[in-house]
Amino acid sequence: MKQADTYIGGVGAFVPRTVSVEKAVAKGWYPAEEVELHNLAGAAVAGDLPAPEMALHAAQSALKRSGRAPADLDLLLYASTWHQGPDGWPPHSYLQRNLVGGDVLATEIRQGCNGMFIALELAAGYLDAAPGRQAALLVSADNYGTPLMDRWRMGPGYIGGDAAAALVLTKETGFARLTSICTVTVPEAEELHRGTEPLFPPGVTVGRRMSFGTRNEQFRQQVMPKGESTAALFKIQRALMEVVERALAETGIEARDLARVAFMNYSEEIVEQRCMAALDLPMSRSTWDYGRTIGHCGASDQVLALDRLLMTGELGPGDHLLMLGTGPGVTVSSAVIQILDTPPWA
Amino acid sequence: MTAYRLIAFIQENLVPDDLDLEVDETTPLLLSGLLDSLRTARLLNFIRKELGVPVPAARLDPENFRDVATIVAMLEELESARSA
Repeated sequence: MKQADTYIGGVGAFVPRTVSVEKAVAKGWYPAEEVELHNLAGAAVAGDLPAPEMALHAAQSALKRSGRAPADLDLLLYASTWHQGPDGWPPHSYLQRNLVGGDVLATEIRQGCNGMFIALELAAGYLDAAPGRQAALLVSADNYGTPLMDRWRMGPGYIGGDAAAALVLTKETGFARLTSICTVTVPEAEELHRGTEPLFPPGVTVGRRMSFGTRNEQFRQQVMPKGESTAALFKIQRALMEVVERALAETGIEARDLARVAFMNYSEEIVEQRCMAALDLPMSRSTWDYGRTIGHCGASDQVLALDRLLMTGELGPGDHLLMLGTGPGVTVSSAVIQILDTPPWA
Repeated sequence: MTAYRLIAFIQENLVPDDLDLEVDETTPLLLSGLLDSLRTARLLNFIRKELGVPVPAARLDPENFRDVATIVAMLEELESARSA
């Protein structure tokens, strides 16, 4: 969807210390044969620091950088991909209590790894829906260091990283403009992240380990041969190209005009083949060099990349950043951000 | 020639080592599970870079990627539209 007058006032990031792939191999956590295959370097590991605590740090930073007070906010969206705390307890309430207060409409977005894209689209629409609405705080956070999850074998071509990212979306001008945000779903691929697991009782309630790798393999071996999902994986790549074409057209630019592209923190081959080569752009315009060091941080990858590019001076006024991602569903999302000014905190 | 190059690329780069499959013009690419999202991307990148034909998202119909013969037919159509 093309965006008119939707801006970014601040971004924030919280990335804990990283553990190298080298160490993970030595400890027997990461398979040695995957090192050369994927060329990943490490993962951010938060230890026992809860995801909502990381979310609070990133949100405080984004809000401070935006120059806004909590009272300016109209909406808080909290994107999560894994358990945040006690089940049945909403993690955004932690941010309401400790940062933004109770007069802000708040909810959790559980849309997997493109939760931040969904949050952006919902927030942009919410701010537009009534006059006087000014700003929304979007935050995402995950800590995968729990029982039932193995970050080093989370899925094919990626390692799970712990982090939080936050962004303040505003109607008044900010340092960057959100020009387009698009999401499509490939429903035929719904079983890709479900595999052959029963819907009830939910796996975590019976202590079943979580592995997208296993479920993806079940989908290929047992679901696809039945017929109706045959073209599902093909259609995911088509959807990816569709949302890119749409976001670029709505922004009025071509792929070669992109200063940088932030995809998910996946293996070198996946980032190159599925994203950069498909756009006919060199890997030097990707954010993979950074992404490979922190792992795939749930819904945070693209905003962490934006924060990093700003802090290292790799994005400047006039530059366009394409953010691209996929999530279970299978949903595929894109967004284009145009940098207007170098923010004072960068 | 295009069909030959596509068959060679698919055989060498997209057929998994543990799959005993001899690719020809009519091998069903989707039914045999060859075209997952990563391999689809690799095939499209080969078509654009090595065969010189960019395929827009609107033409990414599974019917066009049923086998090498349908891909060649689509590429010829895209080529003639470009040169018209």
